[in-house]
Amino acid sequence: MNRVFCRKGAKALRNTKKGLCETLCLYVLVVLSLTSCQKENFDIVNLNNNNITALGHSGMGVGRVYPPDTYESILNCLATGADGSEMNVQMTKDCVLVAFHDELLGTNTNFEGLINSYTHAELENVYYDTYPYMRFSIMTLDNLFSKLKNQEDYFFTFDCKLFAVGDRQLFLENYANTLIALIEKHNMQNRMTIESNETAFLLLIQQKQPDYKLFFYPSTFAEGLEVVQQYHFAGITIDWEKISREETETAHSLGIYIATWNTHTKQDNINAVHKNPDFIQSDKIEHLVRLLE
Amino acid sequence: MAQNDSINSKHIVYAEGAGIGGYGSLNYENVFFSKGLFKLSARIGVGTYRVLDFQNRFNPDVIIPVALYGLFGKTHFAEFGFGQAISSTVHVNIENLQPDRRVNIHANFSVGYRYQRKTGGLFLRLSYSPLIEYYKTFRHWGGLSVGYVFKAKKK
Repeated sequence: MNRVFCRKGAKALRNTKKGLCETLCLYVLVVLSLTSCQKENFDIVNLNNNNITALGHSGMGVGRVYPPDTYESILNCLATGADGSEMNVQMTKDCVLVAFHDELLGTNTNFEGLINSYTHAELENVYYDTYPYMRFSIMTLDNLFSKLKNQEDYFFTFDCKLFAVGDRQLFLENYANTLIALIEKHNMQNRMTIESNETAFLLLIQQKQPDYKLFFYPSTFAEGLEVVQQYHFAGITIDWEKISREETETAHSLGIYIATWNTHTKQDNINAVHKNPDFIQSDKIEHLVRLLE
Repeated sequence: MAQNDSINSKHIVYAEGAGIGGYGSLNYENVFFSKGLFKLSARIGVGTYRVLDFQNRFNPDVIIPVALYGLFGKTHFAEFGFGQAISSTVHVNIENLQPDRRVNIHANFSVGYRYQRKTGGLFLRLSYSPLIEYYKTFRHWGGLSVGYVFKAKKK
């Protein structure tokens, strides 16, 4: 008798376990299917044919193994399926354009001082030394565009960092001429924007190449709107948190493009997309690419 | 064997944050000599920065740290060591923008503290481990290790 009860008890326990397992599996499946199906819906309306151009911020952005603005970072960004990349551009003493963000080399390389105080040949000895056992060299723009396959498929934003010593006007003149020569050489006129926070430099470029798309880089939207309207620049580059959807609409109604940056997280990407800019420079470019697919 | 009579727990596995593996590594260490309060051990590990290269293809960076340590203590040890790390990392060849694997050797030194019981169990280690990258460039560095000491079988 006891044996029969034991058998029944064991069977009931097995059934309970089986039921529990099935319920658990079902629950996991439902949760998985719900989360995988969650898709943001965007109603993108902008001056860019209602598309947002997804750009990497200096390539893959900050906080990655590949330092920003290096060959590795830019090429990795393009390999993710991005439309292109923003890059920080500086000029050497002998007028060669290289990609580098900081004012001083000493912050993340083995050299000290300004990029502009070295020749291009001297910079060949510079390397980023952020991580042990990993050295990355400074990227030369002409070399990148000369050797990049399908270069014509990508869009680039040149964030002009105008750090230099000596005659300012002469430096700006040389910088503008060198940048224009690079763009013309690689036939990039319609696949790039130039951004700067120095109005004098943008005006210099505008004077030489009125058709180039020039973006002013303000600290507030109001400042940006004023400067861009005054000088007839193409757009404003601004931190996504410093502009609202309504302000983007205002800019668009005036024919002014908006590029945003400072999107460090996936949520930042989503929030930035909701603001309807024309370009997003993202530190989470893989996510942004998937989001806009 | 008189010179090697008190090795109770000779196999250790641990993960190290930073340290001579670069950003982090998984390691095996063998205590091969023990006399009184003094022990000698050898370590080998593997670390990486990225598993995919910049073209998003499987092409991992590999760092192999190796080192010899002298330990002094019973459960709380003072540690001194030296070794090498072999790095095999993937970069851009600027002539053709294709992946280019570079293999280099680096030296390292170590001084630190470790907690390691005779009977096995938890292993902890904190070290100052400066690197001489490419046998040229000195870098202040350090690491924190957590692992497990395997209990020796009774004879």
